Amino acid sequence: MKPKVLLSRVGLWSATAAASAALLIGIAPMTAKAVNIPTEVTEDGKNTYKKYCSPCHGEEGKGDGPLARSMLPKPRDFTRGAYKFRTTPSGSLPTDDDIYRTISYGVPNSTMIPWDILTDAQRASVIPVLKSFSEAFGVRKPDPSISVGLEIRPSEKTVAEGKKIYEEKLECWKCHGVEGRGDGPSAAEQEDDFGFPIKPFDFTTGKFKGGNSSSDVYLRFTTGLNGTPMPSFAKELTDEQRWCLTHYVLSLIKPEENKEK
Amino acid sequence: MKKLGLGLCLSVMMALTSAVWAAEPPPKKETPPDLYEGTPDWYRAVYKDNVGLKEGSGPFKDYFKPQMLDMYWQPNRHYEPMKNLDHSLFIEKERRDLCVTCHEEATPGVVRDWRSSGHKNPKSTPYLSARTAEIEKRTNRVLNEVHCFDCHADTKTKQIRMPTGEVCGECHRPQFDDFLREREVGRPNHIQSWEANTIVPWYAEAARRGYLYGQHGCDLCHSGAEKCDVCHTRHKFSAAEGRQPEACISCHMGPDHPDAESYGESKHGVIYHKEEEHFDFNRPLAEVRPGKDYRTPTCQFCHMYEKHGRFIHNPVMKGIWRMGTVPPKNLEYTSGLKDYPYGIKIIADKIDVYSEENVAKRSYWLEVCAKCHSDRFADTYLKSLDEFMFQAHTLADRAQKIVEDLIADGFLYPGAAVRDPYPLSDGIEKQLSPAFLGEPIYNAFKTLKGKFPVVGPILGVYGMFLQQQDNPSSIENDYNRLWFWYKLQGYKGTAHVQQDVSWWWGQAPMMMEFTKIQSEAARLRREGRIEKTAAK
Amino acid sequence: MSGFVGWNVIFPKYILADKDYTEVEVTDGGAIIGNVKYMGDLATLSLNLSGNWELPETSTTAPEKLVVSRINNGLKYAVVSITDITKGKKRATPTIHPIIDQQKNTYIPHVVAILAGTTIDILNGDEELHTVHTCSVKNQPFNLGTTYKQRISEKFDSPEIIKLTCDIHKKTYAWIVILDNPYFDTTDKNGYFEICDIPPGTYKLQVWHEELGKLEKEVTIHPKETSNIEFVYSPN
Repeated sequence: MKPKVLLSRVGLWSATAAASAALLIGIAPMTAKAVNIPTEVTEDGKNTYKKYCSPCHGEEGKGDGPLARSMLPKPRDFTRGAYKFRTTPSGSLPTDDDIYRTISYGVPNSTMIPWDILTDAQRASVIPVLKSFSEAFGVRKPDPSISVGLEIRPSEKTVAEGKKIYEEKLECWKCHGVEGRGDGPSAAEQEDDFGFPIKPFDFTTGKFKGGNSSSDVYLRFTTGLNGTPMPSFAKELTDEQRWCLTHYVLSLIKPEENKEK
Repeated sequence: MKKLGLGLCLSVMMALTSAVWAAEPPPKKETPPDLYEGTPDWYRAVYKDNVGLKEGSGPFKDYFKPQMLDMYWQPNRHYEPMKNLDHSLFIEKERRDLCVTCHEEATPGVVRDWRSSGHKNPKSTPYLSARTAEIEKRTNRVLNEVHCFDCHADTKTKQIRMPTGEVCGECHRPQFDDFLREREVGRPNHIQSWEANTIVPWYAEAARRGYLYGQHGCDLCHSGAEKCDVCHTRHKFSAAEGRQPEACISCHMGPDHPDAESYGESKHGVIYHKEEEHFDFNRPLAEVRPGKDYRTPTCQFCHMYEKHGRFIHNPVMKGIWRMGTVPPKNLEYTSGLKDYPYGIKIIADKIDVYSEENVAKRSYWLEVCAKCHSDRFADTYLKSLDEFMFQAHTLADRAQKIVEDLIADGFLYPGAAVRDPYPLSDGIEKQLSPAFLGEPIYNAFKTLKGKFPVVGPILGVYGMFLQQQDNPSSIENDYNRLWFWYKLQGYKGTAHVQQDVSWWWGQAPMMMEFTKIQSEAARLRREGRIEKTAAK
Repeated sequence: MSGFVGWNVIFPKYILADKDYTEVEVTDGGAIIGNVKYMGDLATLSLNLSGNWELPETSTTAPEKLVVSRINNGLKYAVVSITDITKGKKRATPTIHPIIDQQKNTYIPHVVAILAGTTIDILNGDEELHTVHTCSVKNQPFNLGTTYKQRISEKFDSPEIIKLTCDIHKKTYAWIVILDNPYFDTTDKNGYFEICDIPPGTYKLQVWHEELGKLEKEVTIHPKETSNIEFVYSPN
């Protein structure tokens, strides 16, 4: 039906209501808004953790499960409260939603699969278990989440501006290399907080561990990656500059080399 | 009239079409692949039935525990599903995508191998598409991809499994059936290699003396019974790889069968090495044009040829001399070899080199050799091989006589009555019946409790696998080396046209060992006489 | 000895935390002065040039892990503190924030001791990118990029010993020692320290050094008297 006809049939307000509802559902981020995340450790949470998480992450969340020894990168050690993929500022603990998102989305380029094979409730029940592994959750609270805001439209200009920031202002190339392959001069000696050698990410693969949408990448240098040498540049860059840098980083992906699928 | 004409046309058409339909019968219902088809129940119970790592295999299974790696080397019997991460949920929900998502990070080499394999891309070339179509038709499935799940997920038990030949055989049935036919020929072969490993009493005896893991090498070579990834390795499973001689050499080398060494340094092997890049290993063996695709034969080309132009998916069908161990019927023996196999049922009978069956096999060999050599040349060569073996067995017989006479005259020191008995004598008496051992041997074990010397083929070879208290003695192992190492090396050197292996690794050491045996016997006799004199 | 490198945090059990502390007027307080010494041989510190690009001469300074005076063997950068005092002078955090700067790719000063609740300003005096990275557990850790003339203020609320690193220049780092009472001092280049206005009594006096670990002594303070304490690290 032509829009005009629809409006006249259904009525302006109901059409608007229906459209807004559809829009909201369509753009709703993948958060646990619909899922009730428990605050206490439950039997269900403990059992789910033991069965599916502890083989890698260990019974006490130290990242030392029986399968961890041969894995690279190593499974996360939860005892320090250092979580990489968050919406909270550098150093802060993650929100429950952040943890839920990482469990559901998985971590590409690592053995952490998306755990959508478990139900929403199972995934949520595990979150208090994770938090119980670190005393940090008892002493501090997560800082408020950073809101991502509206992305500026990618263009040649934003990519060029991002390139300037990458090369001149922030000198990202020192770790990430000029082509973004993770082969910069400071790359070889980097270690994470747990003492394991860690390689700066190779952007050319496109398999960003926190997700490869623009807002995912934007968040990464706004919040930094806790537990790794990747700092937050929240103080250094304006909002617009961060989007430019995002566009430049995404432009470094080289799909032909990674046509493994 | 018109109606009749119409009716006639119609019925003719129907007859024709129904003939077409009738020409294609519905696919036969196959029995599922079974590596132990045709074997008795007791045999399946000790070799196939799964016991995890709780007990060994074979008739002496209660005397040893399996090595941990046997989980992967004899999966039917010994595999235990992993306990670290419960995969049952993934199998239940058939989440094929998650296998790859996790394992391309956890074990990236495996997934990349698979991605470049025919399993991942079964219709990428016309040749592969044709073979895949055959399999699709036979199994009544659509196969756009063969995935981790198809081989590794046991949907009945919801556990991960290690695939055995039976899993491969579900699709690759003709190759599986060919492989099964190795049982017609008997040992040595691949399908009974695990049996050969564990049925020998010294294996269990060594295990119970604390040497179980010393037999790591044994278990690894003998692991070809149930696995198909030995020749075309995982996870690429490349048929081209399986056609190259290097696929064989990890096992087929060494002092008891220097196949890799003798082939590798023969003219056949040297030309292969030199011109390897011009060999076309993508061609199935049946389509190989000698002189064009292969300038010299490979292991596979000669050995996997069955007869009359047909290649078969196993290399044992034309075997005559049984690795060189079994004595031929066609000689007169002076030692106890004349009574071989002593009534024992579980070792092979003497070889009649000129039996109808073996003469036929020889003619099939000639069919292969004649692709490049004249019939007379090839036949003369192989007859020379027979003559080499006859004289080698004669030599061994003479050496065995010296040892046996030494024992019979009471000069073996220490004597059989005072040293450790034959390995696992208690187990042999308990587990093996007269049906296996024959009456005389069984009674000997019963009455003498294994305290008698055992010399020569086959069961005398225990001395090279295990040292017990004064058993064997030095001279017995000298003889073992003669008939089990140097005779077999001479055999392979001659068979594979490697002259140095034939002489300096074969015949010459046999002679020198013979010298040692004579000298040692003379010394023992002298010492024995001195002792007797001194005692008076 | 602190074994595993990854744990740049020494557990707070070395520094007794969360003890009750009453603020009182100290009128007859005593003082402790003294030196911290190190009686071992100093190996010549070699320059470890790393990286694949040419270092500017500015970054060829040696790390300040063990700085010992040649005159009196005084040890610099040791933190002396009273660990078990329950009442004493007011816990005042300074209004002017202590500063840690980076110049010529080196953190200056190498060790800063502060009272819990103090805010430190971290500067960048080099015309190149540095990062400031802590990995503490009780205090919120942070990892921030800083460019030339940037000033980052961070407050530290819990007693802890924190290592501050720059991930681009691995050779340099600083220590932030957070204490829960105001009776502490950091030694100067002569190993000299002084702590004043201590209510009379007997206390445990502790010294901490990043490389040599901790030593402890008991000290008795008499009213309006100055006690002289010497800590000696000897190589084992």
